[in-house]
Order: sequence, then C-alpha cells, then structure tokens
Amino acid sequence: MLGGCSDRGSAGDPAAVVTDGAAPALFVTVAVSDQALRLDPETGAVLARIPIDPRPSESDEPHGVATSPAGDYWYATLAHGQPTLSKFEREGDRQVGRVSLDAAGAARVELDRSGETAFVADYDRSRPGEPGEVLAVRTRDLRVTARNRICPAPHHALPDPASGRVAVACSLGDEIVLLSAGELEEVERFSVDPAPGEVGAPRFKPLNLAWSPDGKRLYVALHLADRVRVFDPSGGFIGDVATGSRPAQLAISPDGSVLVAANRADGTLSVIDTRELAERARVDLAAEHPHGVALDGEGSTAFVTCEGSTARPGRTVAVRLGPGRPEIAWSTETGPVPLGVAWAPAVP
Amino acid sequence: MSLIAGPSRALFVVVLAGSLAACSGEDTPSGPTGPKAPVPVLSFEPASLRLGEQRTGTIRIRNAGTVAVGPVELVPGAVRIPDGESVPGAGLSAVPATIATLNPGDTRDVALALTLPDDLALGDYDAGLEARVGGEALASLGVAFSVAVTGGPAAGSVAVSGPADPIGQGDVVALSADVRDPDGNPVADPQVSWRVVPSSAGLVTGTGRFVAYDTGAVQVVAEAQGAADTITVSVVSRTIPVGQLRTLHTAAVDTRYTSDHWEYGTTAYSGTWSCRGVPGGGCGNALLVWDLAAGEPVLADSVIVDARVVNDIKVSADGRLGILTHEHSDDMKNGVTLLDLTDPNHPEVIVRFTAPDLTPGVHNVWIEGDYAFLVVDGTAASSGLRILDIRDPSAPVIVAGFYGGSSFLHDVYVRDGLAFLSHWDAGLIILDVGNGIKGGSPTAPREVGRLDIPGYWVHNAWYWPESGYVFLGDEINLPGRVRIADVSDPTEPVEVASITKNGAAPHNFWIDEQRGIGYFAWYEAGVQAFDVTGDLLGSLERQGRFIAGSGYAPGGACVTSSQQCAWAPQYHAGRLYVSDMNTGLWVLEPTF
Repeated sequence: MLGGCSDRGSAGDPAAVVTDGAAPALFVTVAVSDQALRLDPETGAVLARIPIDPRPSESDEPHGVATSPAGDYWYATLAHGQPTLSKFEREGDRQVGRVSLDAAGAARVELDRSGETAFVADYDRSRPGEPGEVLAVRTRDLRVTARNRICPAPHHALPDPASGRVAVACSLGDEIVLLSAGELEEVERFSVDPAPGEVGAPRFKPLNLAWSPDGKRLYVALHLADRVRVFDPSGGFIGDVATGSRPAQLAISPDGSVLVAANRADGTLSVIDTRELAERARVDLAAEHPHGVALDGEGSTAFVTCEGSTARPGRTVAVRLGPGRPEIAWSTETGPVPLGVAWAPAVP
Repeated sequence: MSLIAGPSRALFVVVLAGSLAACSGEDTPSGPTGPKAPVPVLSFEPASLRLGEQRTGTIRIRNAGTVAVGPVELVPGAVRIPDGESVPGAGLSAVPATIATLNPGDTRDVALALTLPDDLALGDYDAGLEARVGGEALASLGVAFSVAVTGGPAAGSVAVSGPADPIGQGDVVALSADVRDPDGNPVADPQVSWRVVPSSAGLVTGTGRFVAYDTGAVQVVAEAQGAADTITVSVVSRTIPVGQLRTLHTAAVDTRYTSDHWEYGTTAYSGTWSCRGVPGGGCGNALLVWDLAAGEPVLADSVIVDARVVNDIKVSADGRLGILTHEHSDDMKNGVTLLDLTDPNHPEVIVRFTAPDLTPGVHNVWIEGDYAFLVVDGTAASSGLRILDIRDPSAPVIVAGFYGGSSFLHDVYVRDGLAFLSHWDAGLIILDVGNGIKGGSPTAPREVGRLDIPGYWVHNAWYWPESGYVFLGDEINLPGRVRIADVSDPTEPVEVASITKNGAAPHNFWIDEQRGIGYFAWYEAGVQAFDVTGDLLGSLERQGRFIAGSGYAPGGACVTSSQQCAWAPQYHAGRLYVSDMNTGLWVLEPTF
C-alpha cells in the first residue's frame, strides 16, 4: 500500500495553527508528492503533511530541508519548475516566505550557526563540464545576498560551525571548494584525490559533507568510491573510512564522535567512530535507496530517508545508535522519494 | 495609431488603492473558542496616484500586521471597461510580481506598467491588482485610466455606417465613421471614440471592429470632437452546432493517476502521473495501451519504465513511432523512451534515450517529421527545448536546444515549421524550426516572436494555421482563462480574445479545425466545446459560442478525490477522448 503519496493535507493553512511546535520534530521533504512531512522523532508518526506546491498538478520536487538553530523556523528547497527556497514558521508550519533562486536545480540547504544566512547549492547535472552556483540567502527577508559560480554540479554547501567558511562538494568535479561566508569568495580549492576524474566525469563524486564541531576536520562522502574521506581545512589528507555502497548524505554528532552515512545503493547506514576512523556498524535499513540523514540533538538517534523505488514508496527510518549495536527504532512509510531530513529541537 | 505620443490622444491614469476589507481588520482576534492565529494584514500606499500620460508608476505595499507573510503574489486583473467587460490585449504588470516575504512593518515598492493595444478605443477603463498569499487576496488596488481626445480639428458631423442586416453574436464586423468638419469637408485622420451602449452588450475597438455579446438592438456610438452618431445593430443568436457530449465508455484507472494520452487508428495510449496513495496504488511508471477496435477501450498492454511520471506520449504522423517521457526515475537519468508501434496494441521499446541534458526530467514531447521536440524541466540555459534527430530511432541525437532566458519551458507544439513554446512567465515564444521566416531549422532554431502577458503563465498552446490563431492556457491562475492570440504575423503576436471560466483553470485543448470546434479541459469542471469559427474578438463565452460541456464524473478535486479532473481532450474518429487524472480515459460522443 502506498501511504499518503499525494494526500495533500491542510497543514500550513495560516488559520490552522498547531500548538505542538514546542516538541522536538523531524521534517522530511518528499519529492514526488510536493510535500514536507512533520514526524514525531520518538515514534515516527506523521503529524502533519505540509504542501510545498506552488503549481498544483505539476511536480515541484521538494529537496533540501534545514531548521534554524533555535528551532523556530524551517526551510526547504524546491528543485523542479522554478527552484525556490521556502521559509516556514515552526509553530503551525505556516509558510512565511518563498524566494525564487533563478537556479537550475536547488538541492540541499544549510544554515550558518546564527541562522541568519542560508546556503543553497544549485545541483545542475545537465551541464557536467560547466560550473554551477552556490547562493547565500539572508533568512530575515529571503534576499539572495551573494552567488558564485563554483564548480560542476555543487550538491552541498556547508558552513563550518567554527569559522563560518563554507565548504562546497563539487560532485562532478571531484573537488572541494572553501568559500568566505559573506561574499562567497573562493579561499581554498583541492581535489578529493591525487588522481581525480575528468571534469564532468568524476571518479569519486563527492556529494555531501560534514564538519567536525571544531572545524578542523571535513568529512566528504565519496559516492563512487564507497568511502568517507577526511581532510583538514587546507585539503590535507587525514584518513579514509570504508562505508556501504554509494554513500550519500552524512551527519555528525554534536560532540563529533559519531559520523553516519546513508548508503544509497545497498540500503544501509554506516556508523563511524571518528576517533578510530573506522566503521563501527553497518545497519540494514530494510528500505530502498537511503538518501538523507540527520541526527538528533544528542547524536543518539539517526533519521534516514529512503527514496523507495518506482514500485514501492519511500520510508524514513530511525536508528538508535547507543553504545552497543545500533537498532532500528521505527520505520515509517513517507511517500514517494523522501529526500531531505532535518531534526528540530524543542522550542522554549 | 499612437496612444499617447500623438497630438490628439492622451492617456490619463489614476491609481486607487486600498487594503481588502476581508482581511484588514484586527490581526489578533479572539473569541469564545480562545485565541486564534494572527491574521496577516497588507495594504497598498498611497490611496491614489495620478500618472498623467505616463504608463508607469510606483505604489508601495506594507505589512501592517504583526506576523510575517509570504510569498506575496501581485496578481493583476483584466483591464476592463467600467462595467466589467475585459479588453483583449490590454494588461497591467507589477514588478516585482512576487515578494518573497514581508516582515511586520516592512514595505516594498512596486512598479506598475500598463500594456495597451494600439487600437484601444477612447474611453474610461479600470483594472485591478491583488496582493495574494496562498491564493487568498489580502489587499487590492484599483486602477483607473482614460484614453481621451485632447486636440485636433473640430468635427461638424459624424456618420457611422455598418451592417444593414442582422448579425450574429460573435460575428466581428467593421464599422466606419465618416467625420466631417463644420464646413462638410472630410476630416483627415479623425480621432474617433467608439463605445457600445449598453457597454456590456459588446466590444468595439478603437478602429471600429465590433463584436456583439447580447442579442437584440445594440447601439454603437462614434464621437469625434463635438459630434457623434449612433448606429443600431440588430443582433441575433449565433448559429452553432446543437447537441451534447454524450458519455459512451469509461476505461477506469483508479490505482494510478492518468496524465496525457494520444489516439492513433484503433489504439489509445495513456500516461501515468506521480504516485497514488490508495490500496494497490502505484506510481507513474506505466504507459497504458488501449484497444479501441470495439469502441470501448480494452486494456491491451502496458509499458513499464523507470519513472514516476510519464507525463506525455506522442505518436508520429505515420503511426510507427511513439515517444514517452520520463521524470523522477530511480536512476535519476530520466529522458525519453522510443517505441516501435508496428503492432500498435503491443509497443516494443526501441531504446530509452538519456543524456546529461535530459537529467532534470522531460515533461512534454512533440514529434514532427524526423525530429522530436523535448521539454526539459528547469530554469536555466541547461534546460528548455531540446531537439532530437530521430531518423534512426535506435540512436537519437540531440541536435539543438533553446531556452527563453527566464522562467521555464512547459510545453511545445510544432506545425508548419514553427515551434510554439509555452514558456510560463516568459509567455509564448515562437521559433522558426524550418518555416523559413527567420531562416531557422530543426538544427538551428531562430526566435520569431514573443507574447508576454503580465500575470499569465503560459502552460500550453495550440496553433491553428488556417485561422491564424494560437490558443493559450494558464493552468494556475483564477479565474481560468483561455487566451487567443492572432499570429497571422508571427513576429508580432497580438492577443485578441479569451474564454473565461470562474472557479476553474484550463488544462489542455484540442481544436477540431475542420469544423472550427474547440475542446477545452478545465480540470474539475470537465470539458467544454466552443464554436471558434470566424474572426475571434473579445470574450467568447459571452458570444453564444458555447456548444456543450460534460461533467462526466462531477465532484471532488484533482489528485485528492476519485472524481472528475479533466487533463486533455483529443478529437479522434468522431469521438472525444478525455484523459482524466483521477478516473482514467473517457470516450465521449459529440452529438453535434
């Protein structure tokens, strides 16, 4: 049974304020149903279906999702049609803004530690040899304050929690680029391997990133190499960790000790000990095509979106990491092609 | 004729503004059931603005409430004569058209501009602008302007001539005015003001082209510098085909949503869309093949592909080749699949064609001779139109591309060497892809002309060469409106007519060109047939041109119900086939 594939709910209606916004929440973007879902992180229950759908009867493909540090707002990108960044109030999931990005395929969105700036990578795979953009958006008024054409098909632009520099994963260029947070000016560029692929034909395909809390380590998911590679901010090689097949998104615990990778091809989650730089466990998620991953505020539970397939709907799976063997806490059907996932703290 | 540059005509524009009463009250109401959500409040400033002969001006919008709001869509209404008849080819635009967000107390300046046709009649007009959030109007602005004669020689007499015999509703006739000075000499290039009495009874242009909406005696007045004349035109009901759209068969599809379709010979092909959350439901990974030989569609076969949206299917003119589109594929390559239709009821896959250019997804396709025209999703030069050489269908080659510079391409229709691109915000774009008017070819398309209608998002187009018209749809904005443009000179498309329907937006069309009958799908409102013969001017729904409509499964809403949601009609072999998102494929019989 397909669950809620296109069941467009009424959440998001300005008049329909829901007052349970104080509890921690999990937000999932569902690409094919043009919705975001709000889930209970404890149980996996779907609490709200929020349409992100400026064009009814057309596919707008919600892709990335991020929450503000205080948890009072959440943001989502649309990758199809007219790529946009939308802003929602946490309470009632009321939309309060949407900006057109004049981009080809807005992918992930990340916020800086102040929550004042959002960074969006324009993941345009249709021009493999040409550089794509990274955009900075001021969250207060949703103005695009800077944009820079960086490298082929940037998929993830992630600000360093310590210094504010923005690391960019150049998926079709086998490169990492570091940008200044304000003007998005290039400050560092390095290859993910001494023998990278041709531009447009990557050997490693760096898709997603994670910073250590102190900003001294940058973890890079090498999608085609089935590993996470670790660099210092100057591009110095620190180490490699083998993962499952085709690692996609990464997430790191607040203390930096645990890194998780969602492995798209084999349906697993790699749990990595960052001190040992070793895969501590690989969890079979019993779902197809893991894509996004987020951790809760303690880093004790991982939430993984699994796209599903054309024959089966996607799922979101929670994995309790714990000190022992990780265990699946719940698995919820979340519609066709859930992609982004973000955990939001309780709002005081 | 120049509207404002000439010595004797002036354009006076007054802008009247105000917040909408329905949403401008207390923004934190409470009641017996306890506190409610704060209500957003928007207002336009100033309350009025006189622009003189300028066509442009600036107003300000303010968030006067206590909560942030956005996006704010600034949606212009039709330019109308004061009692409500819309004027084709006239429009009001607002820049920005969308404000991303407005925090409490924030303001944003908005530039307004009028676009007016050269043959706009002298007189008074109004228009409107709404600030909408989530489809709800939170503030409205009234705009009034006049086109007036300000100089020129005095007239001693005016004599209007026109048809002596009764005309039909919707017939376009040319009226002429003989203007003479007080000495009885003809006035060269007189400035004549035309109007219909009552104004709701018809439409007259600045050059005296008149179309009647009402039956009976309709008066048309011509005025010129102190003199006037009135002609009374006798209008009779329009003669149109009589009958109904009778439901013959239903090919129910209730486990997937149905998308576009195509009929050829005795076979129908229908696509599937998105994923349907019902027991046993599936995603849009199938092309369904229906045998029509016995009249009632019988499912003969299906083609399963890697996609979650098979939005479109087209068949070549010789019936040998089919092409279906892929979006949201598991392997993320999307593209198109080419089908061998040697056995029409059992297509064989020739090849699935993918390329980096097509990775965002292919939404629509058109086959014309040796080429396929693909609509690639996206809002950058890397998306838009891609032209595929399919002379060897097992090895297609992309030979050209085109992007309109802004917004995104949604659909393409090719005929007589002209490609009509439905390019959403950017409007209708016409390309020469072999016509010769601009030296274009399928391998080197050349832009011929554009029609940008402010606030109108061009979703689909049907070009009817013999008539010189192209029919346009906007599937989003309400009230729904089909717009008709004269493209007899494709370098200068001119909007001339429309069909408006309250509460429903149009989707795809089919024109039976032999009989001059247009079939229009209106989503939840089913399909309608209109007489589109003759010259087209003004509001066709006011002209007795409506032939028949079909609410074959009324009720409900698109995507969220199991009732009617008409996607596309196709008139084929005496039947009207209608794909319906919620219910499947319908076979209707036009009895007219």
